[in-house]
Amino acid sequence: MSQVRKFLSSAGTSGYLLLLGAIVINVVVQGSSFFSTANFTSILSVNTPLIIAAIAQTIVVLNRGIDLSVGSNITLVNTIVIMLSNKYGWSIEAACAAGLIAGTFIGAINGFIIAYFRIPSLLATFATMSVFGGLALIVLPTPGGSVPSYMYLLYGGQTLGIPNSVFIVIVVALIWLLLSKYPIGKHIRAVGGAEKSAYTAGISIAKVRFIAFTLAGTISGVAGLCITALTASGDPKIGLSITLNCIAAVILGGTRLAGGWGGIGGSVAGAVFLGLVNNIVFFFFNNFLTHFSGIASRASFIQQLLTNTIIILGLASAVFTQRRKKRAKIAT
Amino acid sequence: MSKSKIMGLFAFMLAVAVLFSACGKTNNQSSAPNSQGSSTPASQAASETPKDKKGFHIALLDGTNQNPWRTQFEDQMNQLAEQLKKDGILTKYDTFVAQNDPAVQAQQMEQLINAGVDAIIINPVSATSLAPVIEKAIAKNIVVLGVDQHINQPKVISVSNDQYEWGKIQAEWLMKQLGGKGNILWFDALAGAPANDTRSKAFQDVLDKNPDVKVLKHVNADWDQGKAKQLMTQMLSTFPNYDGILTQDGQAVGILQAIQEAGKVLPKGITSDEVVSYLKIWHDINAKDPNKKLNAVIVENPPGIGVDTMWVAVKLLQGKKLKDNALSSDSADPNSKNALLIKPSLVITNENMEKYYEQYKDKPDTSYIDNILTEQQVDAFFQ
Amino acid sequence: MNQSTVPQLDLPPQGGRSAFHIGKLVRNNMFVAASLTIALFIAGSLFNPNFLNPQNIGSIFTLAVIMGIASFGQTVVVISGGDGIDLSIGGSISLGAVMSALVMNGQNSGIVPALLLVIGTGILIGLVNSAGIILAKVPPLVMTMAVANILGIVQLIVCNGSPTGRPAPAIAYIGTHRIFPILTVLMIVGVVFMFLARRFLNNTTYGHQLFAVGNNDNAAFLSGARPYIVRMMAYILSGVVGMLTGFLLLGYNSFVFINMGMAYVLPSVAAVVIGGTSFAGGKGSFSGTMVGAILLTTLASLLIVINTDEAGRQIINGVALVLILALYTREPSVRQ
Repeated sequence: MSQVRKFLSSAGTSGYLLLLGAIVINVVVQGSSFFSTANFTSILSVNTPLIIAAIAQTIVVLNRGIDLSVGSNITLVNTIVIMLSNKYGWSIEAACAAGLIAGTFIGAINGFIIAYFRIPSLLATFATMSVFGGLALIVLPTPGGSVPSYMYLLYGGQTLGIPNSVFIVIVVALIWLLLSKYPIGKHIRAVGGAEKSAYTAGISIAKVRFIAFTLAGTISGVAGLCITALTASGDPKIGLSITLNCIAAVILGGTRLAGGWGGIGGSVAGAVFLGLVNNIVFFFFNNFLTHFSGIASRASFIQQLLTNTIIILGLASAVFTQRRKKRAKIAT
Repeated sequence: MSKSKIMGLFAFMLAVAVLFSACGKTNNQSSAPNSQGSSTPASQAASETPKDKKGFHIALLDGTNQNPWRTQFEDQMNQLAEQLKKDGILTKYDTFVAQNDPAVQAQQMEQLINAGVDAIIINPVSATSLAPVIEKAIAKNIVVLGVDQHINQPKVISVSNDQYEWGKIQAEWLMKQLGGKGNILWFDALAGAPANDTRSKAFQDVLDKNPDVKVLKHVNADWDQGKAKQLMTQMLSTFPNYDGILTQDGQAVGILQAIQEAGKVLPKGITSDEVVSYLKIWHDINAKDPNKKLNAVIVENPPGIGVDTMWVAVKLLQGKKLKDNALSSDSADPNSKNALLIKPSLVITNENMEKYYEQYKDKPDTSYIDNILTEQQVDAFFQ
Repeated sequence: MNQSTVPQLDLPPQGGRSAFHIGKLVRNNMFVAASLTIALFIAGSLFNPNFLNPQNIGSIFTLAVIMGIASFGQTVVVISGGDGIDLSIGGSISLGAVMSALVMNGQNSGIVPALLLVIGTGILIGLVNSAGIILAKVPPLVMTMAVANILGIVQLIVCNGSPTGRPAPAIAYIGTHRIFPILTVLMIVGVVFMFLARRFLNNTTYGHQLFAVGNNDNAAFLSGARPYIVRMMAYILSGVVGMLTGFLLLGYNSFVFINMGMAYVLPSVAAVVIGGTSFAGGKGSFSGTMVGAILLTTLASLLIVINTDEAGRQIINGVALVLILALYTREPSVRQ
């Protein structure tokens, strides 16, 4: 029984449970076709940018912050890669490297403003969101461009039955998990969860905060590269919806907004959960509701309502599971 | 300790996924248990002209439905679908909305391909982001059509109102109203949106031909009446010497209201907004003082384009081929001839405004002036 | 707020309870904000001499009044502490506008029913928010975001995708009439509202309790206030004033469309913070928020007269906001 309690109180529980629930419902509405490679590839490769964005957001939230500029970061990286490779003839590999550096730089700007000007992260990233969005418009004013076909075929393909983009997620996750074994990882949580204690323990609050946002920027850059591979093009407005979605993913995954508690596992599960919700709504309509002709005129509203209701239920249950965990909180 | 739990669970889920997907590897083409099957895509791929010209499964992917234009657009397509279902031409028609999220739209399209569909009509969130998914669909011989906004993919035909013509007609009208010289205020819409950019280019091309017309200020109002009104209110103070107003639609009502509220004199010319409330305001201004009529123009941008596209989809599925001269290039995608552009034919000026007012005066304020092609008119595009 | 587990980053104890006692910090904030606003006006006039003409100033202040009233709820919620924030005001404003348009439908007789409906719905929204935040202990950021989503959908369902209706002539008059070029009726409404808000926050029992609860839950409880009720009232107020802002916005715009209120959400948070209200709770004033609103609106208007395109405007807006925020909204360093 204590094993179960230990499991229930670990970080990310709510995310895993929600994911499990979503899988079950999905199988019900979709049928056995759920278990096909094509299906997994569809869901996972399309949502990989969101999953990676959720990882980036987790790092910031663990540090008791929030990053509203993730979407703009992804957009700017996407436009930079396309501009460099299409307009200036860079090789796609070099353009991607430049994009990654740009993402890191963006995170560093955020980190600098938040750590050293001490502006609340909500407002600071709200401000930088428009700056980076505007820059993306300058870099690539209209959607267009292309990438070599091997890039998007590789991204959208499978190896050994696993969608290739999943490997990217695994690499990013491993990097963070490795970092969290080192002092810096622990410090990010410490500063998030118990700032005064961390300070008296000699940790430089500003430096840690700066690193957290910079790291989040790099990872968002990876998400930008993924979106470039996914869409095989550039669009100065591609990343707008990712921001709110990745925040939802983090909350669904059980990471506390107050900082210090949580983990990327839950956020990854939360992001996949969101992808499955879209899938569930799609198949619910495609397989069941299509028979009701009267539904057609309201279909679009009902889709929205359904999607939002499921997400809200998910958020509520995520917070509910959090309450139990308060007893088992581990302060690092 | 909790870290290893995360890793463990992660690995476990991964293993489950691998197991299932390995099992499902042979089952790539799955149809849902309750789907009323049309012929499966595999058999359709085999024959160029399907043996039966009926029983199609079509889906509409709409990027958003958060504005009345889209609602009208979707509703009309639903109505046609109901009629086609009664005739047996369609067996299944669904609409899926993507909430302006390109990832959701990509996912919806992937699932449609997996579920087996005959034709997909897309009003895209992004002109380019669906390229890889579209290639998958085309490889399975699914008919993919763009509607209302152009999709930059050589094998996708996009049926849209000719936005370049739309912009050109009104800009030229305005130039004529100004007699070729004067000052204008220029309201574009959402920067980065393809329709905006095409129209903006059309405006610019006409302005280039009229060097005596000066642009006092060029702003973006994002197809938002409220923002347009705020911008205009400000411009009334800061750029008061304008003669005419060049604006995209979804904005002129706000601009006009700003002018009316400030009590300023009406502009020498103001361009188009196809929402019915614009027509009503126009009529009211004229009625109040027939000597001071509003000099406006409305160029149609009908939501009926959705219905037109549906007919095109049905004809293509029935094996018909488009005439060679039916297709042209969209200015955003100049290297491909994949645009079926429908030129705006309905232009409203003071000469015919009253006639249209009678037609639309009982419709809701936020509905749109419309024009739906008949099946025969769509047939004219085909051989 | 987790009093027991997370150490509070409270401001120096001089941060007081009412505007009169708030002391130099907030007055400084307002003074700085006011000076910045004047600087922006001067800058605007350098780009375009008409920027300083009375009509323009009147327009800017009118917009600021709307933004300020929209941010009243946010002010109250943030002062109430407990990580209070209300991201649902965008939804309330939009829904308020849509509902008012439907009910009023261009008739003066529709004013009272519309007001009743709007206020009633606002109370409901506040109750839902409070239920989640206080009873279920959902973080305010999450709960209000979720409610915002719901309100967006309710808005669509209420008008079936196509919002219709016009404001009553009396309301349109209030929203649009200009007495002098520099003075609109809305500006007067704004001043009256500011006066009432100030009295409400500083001279009523509730106001005192609000600041007390925001400052320190336990102490407030011991002195007779009930933190949960106070916070619930804060969210109810926010919902009601949000819906009323939608009502007012309908008068200003004379037409209604979907998601009219979305643009106000994050700027309202910015206005509140610039005006001197701290996220830690227990300190702040509505006058500060109003000044913050004026500053932000002036900045937005300034960007119009600058000769740049949309991308440039976005960038300058973001950079300017960062600079303003850096100037005087800094959370105290841990050392303090």
